[in-house]
Amino acid sequence: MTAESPAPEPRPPIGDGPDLPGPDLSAPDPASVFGRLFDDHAGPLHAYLARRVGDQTADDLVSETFLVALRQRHTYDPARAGVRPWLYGIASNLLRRHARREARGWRARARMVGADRAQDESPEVRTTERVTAQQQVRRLAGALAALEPGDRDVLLLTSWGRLSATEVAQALGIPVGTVHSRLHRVRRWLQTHGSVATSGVEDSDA
Amino acid sequence: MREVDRAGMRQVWTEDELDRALAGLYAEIETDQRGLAGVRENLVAAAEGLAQRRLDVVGTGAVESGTAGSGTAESGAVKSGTAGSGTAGVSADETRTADGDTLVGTAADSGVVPIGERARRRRPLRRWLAAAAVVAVLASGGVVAQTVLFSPDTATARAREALTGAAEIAARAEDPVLADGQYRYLATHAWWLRTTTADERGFSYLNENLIETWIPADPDDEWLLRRRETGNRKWVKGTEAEARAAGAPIEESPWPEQRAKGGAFTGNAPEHGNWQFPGPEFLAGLPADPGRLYERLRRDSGGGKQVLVYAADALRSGTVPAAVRANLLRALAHLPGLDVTDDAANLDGRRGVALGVSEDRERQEIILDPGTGEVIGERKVSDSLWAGVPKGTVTSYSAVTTAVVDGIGVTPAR
Repeated sequence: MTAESPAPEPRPPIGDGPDLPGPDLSAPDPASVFGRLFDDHAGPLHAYLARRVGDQTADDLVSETFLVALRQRHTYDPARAGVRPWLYGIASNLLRRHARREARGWRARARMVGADRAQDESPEVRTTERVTAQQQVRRLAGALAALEPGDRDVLLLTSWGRLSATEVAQALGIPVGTVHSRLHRVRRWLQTHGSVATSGVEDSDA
Repeated sequence: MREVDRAGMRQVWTEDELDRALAGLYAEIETDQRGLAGVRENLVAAAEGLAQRRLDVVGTGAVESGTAGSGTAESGAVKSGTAGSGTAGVSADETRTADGDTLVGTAADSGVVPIGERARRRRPLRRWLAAAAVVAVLASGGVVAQTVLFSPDTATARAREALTGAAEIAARAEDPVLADGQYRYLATHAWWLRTTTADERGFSYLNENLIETWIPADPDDEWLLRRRETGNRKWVKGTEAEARAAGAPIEESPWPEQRAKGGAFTGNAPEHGNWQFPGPEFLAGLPADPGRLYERLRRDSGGGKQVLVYAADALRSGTVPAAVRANLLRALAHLPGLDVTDDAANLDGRRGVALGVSEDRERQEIILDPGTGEVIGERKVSDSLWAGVPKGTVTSYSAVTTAVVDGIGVTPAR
């Protein structure tokens, strides 16, 4: 659960949530500050990155993100952004270098899902009107491959990273209005053209 | 719900469906976060190095590289920091050696270990650990997923109480017996959120759907499905007048009536059944033990709120015998974080107890009729302001009623 969860927490994560002030990262004891920062944010960040570029690259990216954060801690302004969007922003920038590989992964995913599922004894087909899970995944993966990296960031930071529009704006250094309009445009595009985008994908089990 | 136009060529996802697809994509990745312990050590070592303004004291073993130069870390940090932007920025001195092997600055620059090198050394071990970790998770539940970090291990006491009570009643219920020519009638009355756009403006409304299914006594015989939109709308974002003025499409094409043997309306019903098509073979294969049944649900659905969705799919299918329904309710008592979220939920005029899980900024609920032990519907409630939909908004709900009728296409007397 995120910090929005009503579940009791032993202590609030530092700088997580729009209403909490960001931590002072310039404190004289960076080891303690960053240790705690890591404990609060590394897990979810890793999960987010693993979904985008795989488990192992995620390890490296988490490491890089925090090391970049450590080096740039004096540039962090708690008054301007929460620490979570700040970290996700650093990670998003680092992720850019993997954008082509990520897109390759999505395309491979779009082709592979059918094969994966053929051996699966528990096909996750929803109700009669719904497309099968594998078709959904294939379509969506193919469509994500076709997105501009900036659009993909906005979509996935929102959907997987659970950042609010304001936080996405802080993370990517773009206006909130841009986040809204991008998100809106991307979602509409995925809703209406997701299937078109994958039509060119070779379908081994078609 | 997928929307298909008359030609069946254009497929459009609803907001709900897109969210579901996004949530499901790569959700099966079980991240192995054990590697993070090493990453943390490295980070703290680097931070300590900064604090002490020395690089060579860090003889902890966490820093494997001996290449750090003699310059101070502080100067490295200053040198590589970007200008005082409040937003994230990555300075230009990060270099990439090859796909996946990335260096953050250089060791001399920041006192930081080259990550690619460290990761490369670690990987053979990590592969093994990853395999071992899966076993460990299954054996002990020991590796705590981030999403359940602060959640209880099971449903709350109130939720368990509600489920147990409903299960007891459900277990005593008698399954309807169909005479020749009779059908089980299933009506799903649903309000689903739909978003429509014109230019750059988006409008959202809850759209009322009525889905009727006739299930024959022999489930292999022909089923009938009718679906229509009633035209009733509750506007969540914008008004109908505004949407029409902007030219946003609102009306959808009517749905054709569908008939199919075995209920395979779109040809995607799996041969051996599943939670959405719980045929006799599928039901017979479910564990009788509630704990194991929960595990099965969790595995098939992906866990979390999807557990509720899958259980509800089966429970409202009209084809699950009373004993299995009771067991499913007991299984849900194992769902972490499940709580009573509204003990007087009103669904189409029927009162029920809402049990829900909050996840991904929304709350997934199923509504139980405590008097009959039946699942009478589902709700989804926005748990935060998201995509312009205010917190607390019911973003979808469906109510289910069942009856026995005397023929295919015959509706029960009201």
